[in-house]
Parts: sequence; structure tokens; C-alpha cells
Amino acid sequence: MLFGVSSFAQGGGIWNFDWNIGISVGDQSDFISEPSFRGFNIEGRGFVTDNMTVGGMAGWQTFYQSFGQVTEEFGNTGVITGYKRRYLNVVPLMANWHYYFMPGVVMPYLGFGLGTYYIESRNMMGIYYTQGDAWHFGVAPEVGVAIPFGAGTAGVNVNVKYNMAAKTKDEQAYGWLGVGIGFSYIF
Amino acid sequence: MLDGCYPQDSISTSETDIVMTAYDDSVVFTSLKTYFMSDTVYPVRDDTSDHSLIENNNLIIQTIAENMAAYGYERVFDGAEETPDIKIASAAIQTTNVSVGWWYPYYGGWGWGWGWYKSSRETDYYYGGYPGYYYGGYWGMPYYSTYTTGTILIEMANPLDYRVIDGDTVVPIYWAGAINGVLTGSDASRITKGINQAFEQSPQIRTN
Repeated sequence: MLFGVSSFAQGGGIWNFDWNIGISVGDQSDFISEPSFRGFNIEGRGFVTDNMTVGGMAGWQTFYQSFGQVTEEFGNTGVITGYKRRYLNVVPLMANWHYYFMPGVVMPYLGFGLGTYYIESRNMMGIYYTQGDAWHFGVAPEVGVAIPFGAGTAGVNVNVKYNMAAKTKDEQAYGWLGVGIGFSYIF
Repeated sequence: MLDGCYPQDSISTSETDIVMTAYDDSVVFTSLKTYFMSDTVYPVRDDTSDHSLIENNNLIIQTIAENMAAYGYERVFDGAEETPDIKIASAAIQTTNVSVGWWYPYYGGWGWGWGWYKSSRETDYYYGGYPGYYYGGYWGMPYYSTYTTGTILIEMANPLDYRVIDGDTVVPIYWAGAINGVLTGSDASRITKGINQAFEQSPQIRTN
């Protein structure tokens, strides 16, 4: 608790730089079930009270799955055979709010993000693909913990976020559990 | 918007191959027996003055003939007394600008469309004097390709079974197969494999 109260007084804030693992849930697992290890985000959180921050985040996550050679039906009587892969490229842009519990050396927090996910979904067969893209309305509840390195201004940030990208007119809903591990810079 | 965000997608040449087929489900294929097929795979090239045979012409014709025989069709030739029930026409599309579209089942409202009629000669460039084709399908999702490939197109139709739609005389396609990608590279076994797959995934057109 060496830096806790003094550093986190109003006016201060935290930058987080996280590597993210994505685990598909719900409708998304019908599209791609394999987890993604390609993701990162940058977050800025500013303290508005001793315990609360407001801020914003931006990131990127790519999901990929190969299905090998498949034969599928399409339309009424169509059949297509090819080497099938799918991609999701996701860019979240969110405003967020966090509440820090400050019991001591570790600081658990709860958070909530509200914003948009830009998602490109790509279905590939051989060299051909169809692509959907949309800005999805999104919410992202989050739990995490910040572990400062002693009295320094840096720390480790670990969080789990449930990313929910709502269905749009043309695009399905997506959702994944994001596990973020990264560095915090506290100012 | 996110070009370049597609890691891992390096596939081998044969993995680029696509085989698409569709048939007209109003046709009673078991009522068909004989067919005529030209010995020439019609070449569709950028250089329209080049009418030379494509490299694997005979292999393509032979592979189609073997599959047709396996499905119970009897090939008749020029000068035969009886009129064949159907004609098989094959084409090899090697132009850079003509592409074959496909529409993915994940999306609603899509289907097989004859999207390769992008040529300005779309009403007259086809082989055998077919007056043009009609397919009552969808014109669905756009497709994209960043490569140049070749496509073997196999179409089954009966020129005597024509209809007039909006003033155009059109011949409905009974069955079509498109084998995309196989004209690139040097492995001719991809051609036979692709044609075999087109028939294999179309058991509905069997006549035996």
C-alpha cells in the first residue's frame, strides 16, 4: 500500500498495455471455436474519485480457424468443395469505467466498457472469400487485478473481460472471453 | 480496412482449388441417356484471337467422358442418327478479368449465379451456338479474389429445351461444374481430381 492512496488520488491515472487471449463463446463459437492468441489493447484510465476511473480503450484481436478440405451445400442444389478457413478481425473502441478495491498490495477491480466493436468476418474457400463487416454495439464487463511493483509506478495487470458484440442488421452477434495480461503504468 | 490482418493464410497451390456444382432439380436425370460432347475445351482467353487448344484439352475431355460413362450416360458423336438428349460443353477460362463467384451458405439469400458472363460478348462468345444461358438463381454475395486463376467449366444442357425469357432465347443449364484454380501450376492430377470431385458431389445427375 506504499503508493496506493498517494498515487491514486484524483487526477492520477493508469495506462494499461495488455496482451489478450480470446476464447469464443455463444454464437461466435459456431463461427470459430478455436481460441485466439493474437490480441492486444491499450487503455487509459483516469481517477475521478479515489476508487473510480473513467477512460477508454482500443485494441485488436484476430481469430482464425482452418477447417481443411470440406464439401458443403449451398442454395438449392449447389455443392462446393474447397479448403475452408475463417477469420475474425476485431477492433474494439470503448469508453470504460472501473472501480478499484484497494485492500493492499494487490488491487482488484471491477469494470464495464461501453462502445463499439468493428468486426470483419471472413469466410474463405480456396482463394475466394466473402466478407462481412460492421460496427457492432458492444458492452464488456470486466474483473481484474492490478499488482504494482513495490513502490514504483509500474505494475502487472491481469483481467478477464466478457466481450459482447451485438447482432447488427447484416451480421451475427459475436462474443468472447478475453484474458488480458499486461503492464500498467501508473501516474 | 484490415488488409494484412490475415495471418496464417498461406495455403499450398492445390489448396486453392475449388469445385462448385449445381443442378436443376426440375430435370429428371434418369430420363436422359445420350449426350454429345465436343472434343474441344473451349478456351476463353485474354487474347481472343488465340484459338489453340489448351494444354490439357484431351485430359479434360477424357476425364469428363469417363465420369459420364460411370453415371450411365452414353456418348454419341457427330453424324449419329439419334439426337442426343443433352450436350456437354466445357470451357477453360484463363483470362485475368473473368472470375467465378460463389456465395457462401452462411449468408441468407444467395445461390449459384452465372457470374462469369462479364465479357462484353456475353451473348455470342459461347461455344456451340448456345444462345445464352439462364439460371433462375440468386445474384448474391460479392466475391473477391486477389489471384489470377483458371477455371474449367462443364455445362450440361439440352439446346432443344429452350425458352424465351424477356425476349431472349435461353437454354437452362441442367447441371454445371466449375473447377477453379486447376489451370495454374503444373500438376495435371489436380484437373482429374477436380473433375472427378465435381461428379462425385453430384450424384443427383446419375442416370443409372
